[in-house]
Amino acid sequence: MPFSDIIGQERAVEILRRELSHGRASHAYLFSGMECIGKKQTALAFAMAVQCGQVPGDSCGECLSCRKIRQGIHPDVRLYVPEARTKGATEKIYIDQVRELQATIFLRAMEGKKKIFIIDDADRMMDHAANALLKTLEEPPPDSFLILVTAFPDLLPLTVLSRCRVVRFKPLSSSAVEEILVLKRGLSAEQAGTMARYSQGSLGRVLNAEAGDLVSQRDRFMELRQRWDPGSVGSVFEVSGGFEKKTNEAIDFMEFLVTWNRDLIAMKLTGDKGMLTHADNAPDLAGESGRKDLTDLLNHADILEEALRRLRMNINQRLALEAALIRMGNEAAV
Amino acid sequence: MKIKINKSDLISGLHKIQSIVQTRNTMPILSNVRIETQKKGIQLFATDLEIGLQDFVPAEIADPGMITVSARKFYEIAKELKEEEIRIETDDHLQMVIKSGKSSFKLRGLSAQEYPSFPEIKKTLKLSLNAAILQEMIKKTSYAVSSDLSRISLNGVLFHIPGSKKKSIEMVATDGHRLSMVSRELLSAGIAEVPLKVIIPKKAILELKRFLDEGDHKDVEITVSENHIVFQEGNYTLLSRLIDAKFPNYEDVVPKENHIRLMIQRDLFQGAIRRVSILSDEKTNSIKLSLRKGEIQISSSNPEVGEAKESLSSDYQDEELEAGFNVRYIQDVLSALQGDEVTMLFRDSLSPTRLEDPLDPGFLGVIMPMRI
Repeated sequence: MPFSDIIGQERAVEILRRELSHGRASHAYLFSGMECIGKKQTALAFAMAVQCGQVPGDSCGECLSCRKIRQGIHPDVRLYVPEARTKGATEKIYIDQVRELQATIFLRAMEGKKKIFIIDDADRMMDHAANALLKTLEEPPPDSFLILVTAFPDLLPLTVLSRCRVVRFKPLSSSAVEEILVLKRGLSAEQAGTMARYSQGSLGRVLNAEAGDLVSQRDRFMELRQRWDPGSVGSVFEVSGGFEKKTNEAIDFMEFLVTWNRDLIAMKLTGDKGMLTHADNAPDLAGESGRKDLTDLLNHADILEEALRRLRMNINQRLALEAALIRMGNEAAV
Repeated sequence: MKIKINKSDLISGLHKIQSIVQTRNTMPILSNVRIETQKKGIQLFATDLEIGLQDFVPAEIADPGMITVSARKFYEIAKELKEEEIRIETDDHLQMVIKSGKSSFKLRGLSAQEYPSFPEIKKTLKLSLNAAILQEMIKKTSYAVSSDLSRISLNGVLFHIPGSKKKSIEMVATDGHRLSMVSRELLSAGIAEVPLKVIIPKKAILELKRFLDEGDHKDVEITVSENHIVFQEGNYTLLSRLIDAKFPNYEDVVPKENHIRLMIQRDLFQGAIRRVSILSDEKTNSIKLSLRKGEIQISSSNPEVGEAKESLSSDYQDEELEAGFNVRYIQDVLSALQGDEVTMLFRDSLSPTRLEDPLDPGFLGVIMPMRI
């Protein structure tokens, strides 16, 4: 899709368009921002803009080159994604994928004007794969672009980070999610609106979900949260017990806690209901934020972020969850 | 598309492209061959995105069209058919029906639009070179190409045309431990005024070698554009992307003041080396050359297995010298040359050594000795 079709990432798109049209585009980009907000789409739009040449600073989206990029069959636009080499293994980007990239990047373009190499979920690169990539990142051949896409830049080695021009992608606004849902899934504005509120800025969460599931999941999380008594370790075990071996659900729950906590902080500082993710629960939020101390809430935000990071690094979900809940309980008691 | 084609013609065309088509691929369509009708036949095109191969096969065209189908399956089917005449038809659902005698096959295809296209070649240089000369130049350089992916510029053969004054063409390959270069005079017209230096990937060189080694060929048309090089002979067209890197300045490493000269019978030398190398160290592949007046000795030793030596009488007259070499490097040069004799030029036991062919002044080999 052309740049003009990317929804909700105006700033990132503007930066890229400007750099491209001034001939100042970097040879190695890192697109960073949470999952499912359009980073890879933007990388493909960048590739289309480089190859197309029909529309200044953008692509037409219809010529042969654009169509080939969209279908993933353009010989000069390559996408590398993590692979699970053995059944049930975690998906990784392996060194032979990087080697293949290197062998291709040093060949002149096949059909297009330039070569674009996109590494999706670059944080999943094996250490030696990342190290092997360093030299190419530093000195790619003149007619090529490397784009690393990641939701977790802090999992990438510093040596990789420091060699890339970082473009940050922000969480999608509710209205952007709404717009995409209407466009892509043909939902009514009302349905899309409800779902967008539960998206927490990430399209991936709602794009393939049913509105009903999302609402019931959140209601379940709210109920769980109420059962959690910060002072009682027993209640912590009860809450976290349900998430054993359910990493994705544990992450969803943690993200719910993060947004809830964020709403509490927003409520405490501004009292503005328009800023809330869980706007439908404004009275509860108002009440709870009144009882809580701002320092505690800020501490909780840190604890939750840390726990989320750990959960994504594939550690024992239950332990991570318990540790976070207990630490938050202790904060409250002190 | 509706055509009638001769079985042996089709097999020969499909055979040529088999080596290009890969089974394991990031893009499934690359295991297909593109078939496109022309006035008097079909054009087969296959590519692995590094090199591409096109071959024209004569056929009777009843209805033009194009499609891509699995190259391997199409070849297997063509080989097994009993009758000489094959009828091929495609339908609207991208299926290709192959009929011959009483057999009938239906191959599911993919749209030819989705296949990588044969790039437009905006020529910067076009020349024609005798196939035998090209074959010889490849034979005398291709063995020295590096396979080390960390030095991309050495993963191919340098194709060098110095410019208008010197009407010659050079091919150079090196892996950092050895180098070989061949230069030939160019007779054909149409040489660009500007000098040209491009690096052709090893894969393309080997594919071209394979083609040239099979059967007799006339002149090969070579077209170079900014990104590609194309070799064409008759119905056969080989396309390759060029390596986008700077070839090292090889002229500086060619030793010029090597005064110690050894001239030796190539076949005797080759035989002795082959025997002695049986007991060379498996890791280093090293052998030792000891030069004395009237005699040279070739020896190897592997502390765990044993040792070997062989002497050859020679008219060597220079100072005594001992030098170690990777035996494979010497063997590669010796087997690429054709003359009865070969000349080795040393400076001392650790400086790069020149290898020359008295019959071919256009050839030069350089090998780094080993410390032993």
